[in-house]
This record gives sequence, structure tokens and C-alpha cells, in this order.
Amino acid sequence: MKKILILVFLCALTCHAARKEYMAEYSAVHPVLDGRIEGDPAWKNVPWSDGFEKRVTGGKPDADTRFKALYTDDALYIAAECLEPDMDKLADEHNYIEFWLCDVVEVFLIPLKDEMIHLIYSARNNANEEIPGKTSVRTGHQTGWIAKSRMEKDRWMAEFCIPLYLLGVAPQRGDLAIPFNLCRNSTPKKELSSWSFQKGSFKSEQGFGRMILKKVPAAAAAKVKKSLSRPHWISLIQRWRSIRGDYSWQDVIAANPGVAAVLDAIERNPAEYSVKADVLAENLAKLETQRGAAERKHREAVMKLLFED
Amino acid sequence: MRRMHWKHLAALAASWWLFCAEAQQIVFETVFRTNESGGVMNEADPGSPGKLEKEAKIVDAVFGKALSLPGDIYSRAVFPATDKMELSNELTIGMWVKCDSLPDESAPKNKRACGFFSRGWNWRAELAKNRRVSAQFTVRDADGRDRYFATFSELRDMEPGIWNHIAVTYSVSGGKLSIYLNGEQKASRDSDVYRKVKLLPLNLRRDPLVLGSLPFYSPFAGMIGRTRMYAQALTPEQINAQERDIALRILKQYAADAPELKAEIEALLAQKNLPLSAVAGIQKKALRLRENRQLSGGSSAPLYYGVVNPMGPETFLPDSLPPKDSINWPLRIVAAKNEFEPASFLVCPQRDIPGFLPVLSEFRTKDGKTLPASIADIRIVKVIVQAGADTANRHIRALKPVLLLHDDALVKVDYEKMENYLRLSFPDGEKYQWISKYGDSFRFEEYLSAKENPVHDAKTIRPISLKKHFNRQYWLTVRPPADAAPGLYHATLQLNSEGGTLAAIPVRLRVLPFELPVPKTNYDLNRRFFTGIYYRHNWHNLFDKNAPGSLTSRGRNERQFRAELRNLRDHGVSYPTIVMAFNLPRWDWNKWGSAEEGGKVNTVTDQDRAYFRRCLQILREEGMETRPLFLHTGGNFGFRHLYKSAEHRGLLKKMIEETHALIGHKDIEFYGVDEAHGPYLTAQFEVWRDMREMGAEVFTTSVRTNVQQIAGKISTVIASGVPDRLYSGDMHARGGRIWNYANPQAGQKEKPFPYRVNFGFGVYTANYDGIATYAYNVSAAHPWNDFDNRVEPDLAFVIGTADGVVDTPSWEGYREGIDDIRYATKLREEIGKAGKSGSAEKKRIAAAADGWLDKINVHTPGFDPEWTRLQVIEWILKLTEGAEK
Repeated sequence: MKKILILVFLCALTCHAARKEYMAEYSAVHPVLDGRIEGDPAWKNVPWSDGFEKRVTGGKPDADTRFKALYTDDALYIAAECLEPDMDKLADEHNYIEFWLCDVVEVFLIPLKDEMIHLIYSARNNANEEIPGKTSVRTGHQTGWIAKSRMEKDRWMAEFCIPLYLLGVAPQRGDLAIPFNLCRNSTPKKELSSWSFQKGSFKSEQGFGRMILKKVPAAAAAKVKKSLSRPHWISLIQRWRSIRGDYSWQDVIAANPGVAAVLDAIERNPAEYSVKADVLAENLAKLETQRGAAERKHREAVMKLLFED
Repeated sequence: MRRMHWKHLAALAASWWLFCAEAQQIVFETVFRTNESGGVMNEADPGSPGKLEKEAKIVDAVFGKALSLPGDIYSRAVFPATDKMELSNELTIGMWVKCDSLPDESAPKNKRACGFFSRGWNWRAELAKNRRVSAQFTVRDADGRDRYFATFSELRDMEPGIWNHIAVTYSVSGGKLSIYLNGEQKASRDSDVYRKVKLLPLNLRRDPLVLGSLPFYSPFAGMIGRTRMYAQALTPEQINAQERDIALRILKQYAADAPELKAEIEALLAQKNLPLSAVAGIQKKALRLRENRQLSGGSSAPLYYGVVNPMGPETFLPDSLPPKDSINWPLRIVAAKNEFEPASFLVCPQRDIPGFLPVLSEFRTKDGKTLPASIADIRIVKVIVQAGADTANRHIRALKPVLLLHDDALVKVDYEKMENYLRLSFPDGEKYQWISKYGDSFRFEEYLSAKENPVHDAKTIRPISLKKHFNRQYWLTVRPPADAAPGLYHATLQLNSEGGTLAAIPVRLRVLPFELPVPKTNYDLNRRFFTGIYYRHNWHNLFDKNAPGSLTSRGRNERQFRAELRNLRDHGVSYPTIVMAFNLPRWDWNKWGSAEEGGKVNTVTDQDRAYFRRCLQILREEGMETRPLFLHTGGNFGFRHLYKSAEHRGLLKKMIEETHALIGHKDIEFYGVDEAHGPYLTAQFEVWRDMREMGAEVFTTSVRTNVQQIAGKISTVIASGVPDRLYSGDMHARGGRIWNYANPQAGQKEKPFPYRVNFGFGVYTANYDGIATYAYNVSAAHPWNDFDNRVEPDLAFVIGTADGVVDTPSWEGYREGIDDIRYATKLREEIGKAGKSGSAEKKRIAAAADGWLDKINVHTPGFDPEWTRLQVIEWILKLTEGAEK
């Protein structure tokens, strides 16, 4: 009996030791999301992960991948470097709905129970996602994230910005371990690989490693807390752009020129998105509350125009 | 004392459970009894109680205890998996469910459903916004591939606000995954959704059993009652027997609460084998009575009515009630000159009313201009019994509003037996023919003599007898004449019965000061938008003046052919594919698809040529466009993918020249191989190249993902599925056109909404050049029998009669989609004119309108094509200000 217990203990220890971890530190500097990792001060001292393993069989892939990660006061950033000896043979992306046929990196994160977030981004700058309904409802469907990729001679890079608001968690009280994996499809090599070894589906939780966010420094704690309480600027800017381009909002916008001016000014200056996220949220809320009334008024006006003598 | 009571109850419950468990092997059961430590009992395994999470709580229900879920994604009851629950080959999961509200409409499309049962991610049941219940199982096969078995009930099957019993059965040996709602099978499936892989044993997992919301969906709000899992796939009889105790308790409660239904309930209570569906029916009736009292305001009037949107996503059945804010409202219609425009109202009789007939008055403006009542056509929306839409559910019978009839008696429906009877009007009297026989047919164009099947609808609306609380929908189609004076007209639609006028609906008709132009594309006002459709017609009786004609497309006579063409024209179609069954020059392979077997030139007789010329003449006479002519020629003149330029080039040239000579011009598009893909697609490229070199253009269908390959090789591709500017961009860049089909195919006769949106603003804003979905008039075997096609509903917008066709709401939706494009074209024209005008104000409005039009997005949640069209009209009126309104 004792031997069995020791065996079980050793086995558990081995299994635990086999799980990969990546430590992501807090960064006061936000990376510039342009697919350039070298030369970006935010990434400068961030260590690369170790290499990937081929799915099912294991072993070093022919097209290897590595990544860096950090988090800021409002988002987790991941930068992937995808080596590719045959850059000229990357798959066309005519029908990106079938992203599994394309050259992509896939981020898997389970920040909260039952919330496996799956974000996919391709070498040719196409995005796809699988966001759980639970996450969608939790965030009021404000699940925006962005990424950017860039091709070089023998590799392509992809940078992800994943809002803390989307994750719903941050390392406020101590280090935070999030089940995580980064996976890759290389179509020239017809090769699937991942950072944490997967013997089956990329989605298998058992094969996930851990993204460990180091505890947030005290000086940034308040900002991080705030980021968890309102949608990220990515969602807010997307929302403002959709409102700006939607004719049915024009009466509301016209009635609130000051609000629209503030939002436009922020929208024109991407450098301000992050620092003015609160202003974005407040002003959008003002418009949202007036919108229903404006549309009703517009409908009434059209009905009056058409159906009154 | 409390302790004694608890033990007594526990003993009783255990006895009851043992009794049930012996009859059917129950491996899990909860009646939401809690143990002393607050755990929720699993009666089948008392040692494995479940727990409530977050706001889930246990409340009193009609039949005992139930789980209450407030609509929070985290609230649920979780039961640990037990050994008994590890069922891989056969099981039933059954539960009582009462949902308070349907899923969140503001959510992204894929989130507009809520789960209420799951075991892990791979076993789950959901309720969708459109009230469909689904059951889904993902099973890994021996090769490690996930197989997805899912089945969906029909629309509107699940009624919110009442207790429904939902059961899902899974049986590998029986080969079926089925959904039962209140003891009746509503859907089933026997294979993988994507491939024909039969049901596989479930992968055994230790996932807990969860009652409540699912992670990828909207949260569930409502109650869940007794839930059981059985080790067998129960039959409907067994489900009814197992759940009858709860059904009886619900019924007894309603006997006390709904005195109007007392007699009906007592009769049901006297039945030995009370069906669960009857209990659901009583609850629904009680709910409707309550809502009906609220809507009628307690009035003693014999009826009330509600104005409903004929083109909306909601369909109306006899127990449907109109929206609260539509009661006794006026009918408001806005139409351009010469445009057909629908309106609709729902009549809700509060007692039996014989001889009911809506009668429309003359239309009159305040300054005395008039239009006759005859500009409007009134029809009844006939609800008949139809088969399930999915191939797996063709045996399911459901009520659907599919026919627009003048004479309600053309089809009689037995709502008890769920069967239809079609009236045949012989010279010596009428006879009803049973048209609900199941068949295994997939025969196209079976000849059904119109003489032996004299099916005739009346030419104008006929009176009917209304039955108390059996609501009827009417459909009004108004067409102001081309010379109508614009303005606001008033009329009255009297709802008459044998005893006089019961109510009067005010009608307001705004006639716009313009006619709609022929449709043009969104991206170029100089390019025609082609309004096509696949049209089957076999005209071998065309020269026979005495030909009886047929109810199907095989053997229609000239009168029927002309009636169909007029109907097509009146629905905005100018380019039907011509014509899918005729004899023209082509190469016939001796054996289908085998080059080795050789082939021969098809013999075209002088009579064939004469038929074809006559057909073209009639097409032109009835207003169809024949330049360009979209011609079916059996797949690249029959050469299909087997063409070899070196061998066949000369023959191909001869056939093209002969066809050009026959038609009299060269503006013709010849059909390629239908829906070709892979090597069958690429093998055509050679023949397409040669055909185009010889001055013959090609059009054919393709999945949209092949458009990039096809672009530049043919003139017109008819691409399936959701339109996208990606694909139109590919075709336009290489000088081609792109149309849309299968978005969806015809056949969902009761649904105008998707046809209007997808073949209207949907294709227009994606910069497509045309539409031609399949099809106008296809039927397998009998076109009036929906049960004799084992694969799918007949892919038809209309149903043939002896003297024409009967329309369906879906067909009216197709027309409204085309009209939306014509309105958008009109706006583009006015924008262009204003841009060239000297008025700065007009230019400003034009720029704003242009920007607005560019931003129409049919994929926005809650997109409303009617409101979008009204805004188009508003812009047109602003730009044409000064013209009379």
C-alpha cells in the first residue's frame, strides 16, 4: 500500500513538473501593436518562451514558434514569432471562416471556470474567435480584442492585445495562474504544434500549460482594478465607430455635439485610447441612453410624414 | 415531530422511486428534495446529492418542488456523475421545464439560445430565441474524430410560461437521437450532422449533470421540475406513462384556476391514458385566454383584430395573438405607383361567427381623388399541416401558415389527426382528396393531369365561418395603378358577418409620387441587377390548345405557362432561367458521366425548334427579358467535364452556332455544370475557354469559396450562401457577375422574412449582380402533399393549380426583397440627380443619403428591412422635395 502511495505521489509530482509555465510580468509601458517585437521598448527585456512541440507525436516542429507575454494596467499582451522556411507557400486566406486551413496562431485561455477563450489570428491579419456565452454575458457582449501580424523573410510575427476586462481576472492579490496554451498551424509544413504539448485536440484542457501573471505592483493596482470594471478601450472604440457610421444615431449625435466631439477627438488619437478609456465609457453611456428615444422620435416623424394629411 | 415527518416522506418517496425504477430503469432522478445538509437528492443514488450554485433555489411548484433559475449564467444545480449514469449506448433524459423568457435578443447571433441541461460540453439541450428545442451530443469515433449528433424541433414548438415536458432519447441500437415535447416526438436524427455516420456509443465521462445555463449561450430563466435519466430510450407511450402523475397534478390545478376550461379538463381527467400534450394544450389555452382577456379589454365585442407585419420573422397560428400595441390599429401601407405592397391583420373571434368576410371600400384622398377597392386583393393565410423541414424530421407534423388563398375551403385541415384534404372541383361536383400520405418519392415533375386534379382557388376572397378563439390571419396586397395620383388615401376594411358589420379597420394608403425603376446594382447604377429564379417548365403540350395541363411543371399547358409567367413578372422576376427541360443542340453521353462510353449528337427536330421559339415568344409577350437569355443546356452543351478540346471543339462550335441561329441573337449565357467542385470544376475550364472564344458566355452555380477560382473564366457565377463583398470583388475584378442562390433555397413557404432580407438588402449591399434561388416550382410527386418527399420540403415558392399557382408568404418575401433593391436603386438615382443639381442643400442631402445607404448592414442584430425601406423613402422624398407627396 505504502509503495502504491509513493508511486502515486511520484506520478503526480512528475505530471506537475511536466506542466509548462510562463511568467508574465507587469509592464508600465504598453507595446505598440504593429507586429514588430524587436525594437519595441515594452518587449525589450521580456524573455522568450521555449520552443513548441508537434501535436500528437511531440518533437521539435519543422516550423518552430516561440512567444513573449506581459500585462499592462488594462490588457495581457502576447507576441508570437512563427519561424517559416517557406514563407512564399503560406496558405491563401480566401475563406477565413475556415481558419484551421490557414497559417494561424491560436491563443487558449481559461481565466474563469467554464470560460475557455479561444482567439485566432493569421499571418495575413485575419481574426477569428470562440468566446463563451458566459463571457459574452459577463461582459455585456463587450468582448473586443485586437491583434496584428507582420511577415518577414523567414518568419511571421503576431501580437495580441487581450483585455483584462475580457479575461475578468487580474493578479490583484498575488500571482495568478491561468490555464493557457498557444498553438500554431503551419500550412507549408502541414504541421500543427503547440507550446504546451497536446496529444489530441488543441482544446484539450489537460494539455494546457499555465500563463502566470505576476502580482500587480501596488502603484498600478487601482488602474488594474478599474480595467476589470468597464469595457476595454478596444470595445469602446469599436462601439463608437459603429455608432458614428450608423445613420440611425445621427440625431442623437447631432443633439449631443459636445459628446461627439470628445469621442471623435479620442478616436483620432490612438495614443489616447488607453488613458482616456473612462472618458470614452462615460460619453458613450450618455449617447446610449438617448438613442432609444431618438429612434422612436424618428419613426414617429416618418410615420407622420407618410400617414398624416 | 419534524423528524418523523421527514422520515415518513422519505420512505414514501423511496417506495415510489422503487416502483418507477422497476418499470423503467431510472439511473438518476431528482424531485428537488433536499437532505438534512441541504444537498439536492438524487433519488437513484442518495449518496450522491447535488448542490445549488449561486442564485439557484428550490421553490414550490404545482406538482411539488422545482428548481428556480433567475436568468443568471452562473446559477444552476450540479449533480455528480455516478456509476449508474455512465450510459454509452442508450438513455433518456426527461425533465419538466417552464421558461420565463426567451434568450437575449441583443446578444450576438450565436448566443441567442440558452442551455438548460448538460453533461460536460458534449451532451446538451438548448432553447433558442425562435422557441426551438435542440439536443446535441458530440461523440469521438474510433479514429479520434468528433462526430456531432444534433437535432432541432420545429420553430415555436416550445411555449414559454407553461410547464412542458422535454425528453431526449439516444439509442445506438435503435439508431435514433430524438426530442420529445410533451410526449410527442418533435425531431429525430440518425446520423452525424455533417456526414452519414450512424449514431455511435457515447464516450464515458465523469462530467457532472448540470441543470441550468451553459457556458457558450445566454442564461436560462425559469423553472425545472422533476428530472430523470433512464437507461433506456423510452418510447412515447413510456414517456407519457412515466410522467402522467405530474401531468395530472398540473391539470387539477388548472381546473381550479381556469373555470372556462373546467369541462374540457374534467373530460381529460376522465381519460385513462392522459397524454402529456393535452396537458400542455390546456395550459396554453389558459394562458391564451388570460392574454386574450387583456387584449380585448374585457369587451363583449364579437371580435377584435390586430395589425401584424406580414413580412416579419414572426408567423401566426390559430392560437397566436397579435402584439399588444397593434390592437384595433389602422392598416398603414406605403406603395409606389404600380408596386405590389402587402399588409396583414389577425382576426381574433370571441365567439363563433358565420359568414365572415372582410370587405374593402373605395380609397379616397381628402381632396376627393379616388382609387377603386379593386386595387387591393385580400387573401387568407391558410395554416395547414406540413412535414418537418429537416431531412431527419420529415415524419414530424406541424402547423404552418403556408398558403395565400382566396377560398379557405380549397384545403380542409383535420387539426386532430393533423391531415390535409385538397378540394377537386369537377364539373359534376366537388370532392376532397387526402393529401397527407407519407411517401418515399423523390421523383421530379411527375405529370398530374389538371383535368383529373381540378384544383382551383377562387379569384376573390370568400366568406368563412370563424370559430371562437381560433384566430385567422388575412393578407392584403395593394397595387396602386401606374397613373394613380400620389397622396394619402383613406379606406375602410369592414369586417362583416351574416349579421352585419362587426368592426371596421381604417386603412391609410400613401401612394408615392414615383414608379420604381428596374433594379440596378449597388456599386454601379449603369449595371442591371438581374432578378432571376430557377424555373422548371416542360412545355410539350404548348401547341395543344386542349391540353389539360398539369399540377406540376411537367405538362403545363399554355394557359398555365402564361399564368406562371405573369406571376413571376408580378413578383419582380425578369430573368427566370430558361428553361430547365427542353431539347436543344447538345452532346449526349451514352452513359452518364463516362467518357469511355462515347456519346452522340442529340437529335433536335423541327418541332423542338418550333417549341422553343414559341416558348421565347410567350416569354416576351408576358414581359420576361430574353436578352441576355440565361439558358439551360445540360452542362456545357452536355460536354460537362468530359470535354476534350482537340476532339470536341468543332462539334461545340457547331452547337453554339446552331443555338445562336435558333434564338436569333448571341446575347446568351449557357449553363455550365451545376454545383461542380474539385476536379469536376477544374475540368470545365477548358470547355469554358473554348466557349467564350466562340462568343458564348457561361453561367453556373458554385459554392462561394470557389468563386476565386472561377473568376475570369465565366461570365456569371451563381454563388451559394451568405453574400460577401469579398466574392463580388473577385468576380468584378475579372469582368464577371455574381448572383446569389441557396440563401436559402425556396421551400420554407411560411417564412417571408429571410427571403426578403437575404435576396433584398443582403445581396444588394454585398454588391451582387443578381439572384436566382432554387426554385419557383419544383415538386417531388404531388405538389400539394408535403409528406411524399422524403428528403426535404418541395423547393418551391408556389404550388400549381389547374389554372395558375397559389402564392406563399415566402414568395411574397422574395418580391419584397426585389422591391427593396428597386427602392435603393431609386434612391441612388435621386442621389445622382441631386449631385448634379445646382442646389447646395440637395447636394448635402444627397451626400448624407449616399453615406447612409453605404452603411446598411443586414447583419446588425435586429435588422428591420421595413424600417430601412421607410428610411429609403424618407431620403427619396427629401431629395425630390417639391414633388407632391
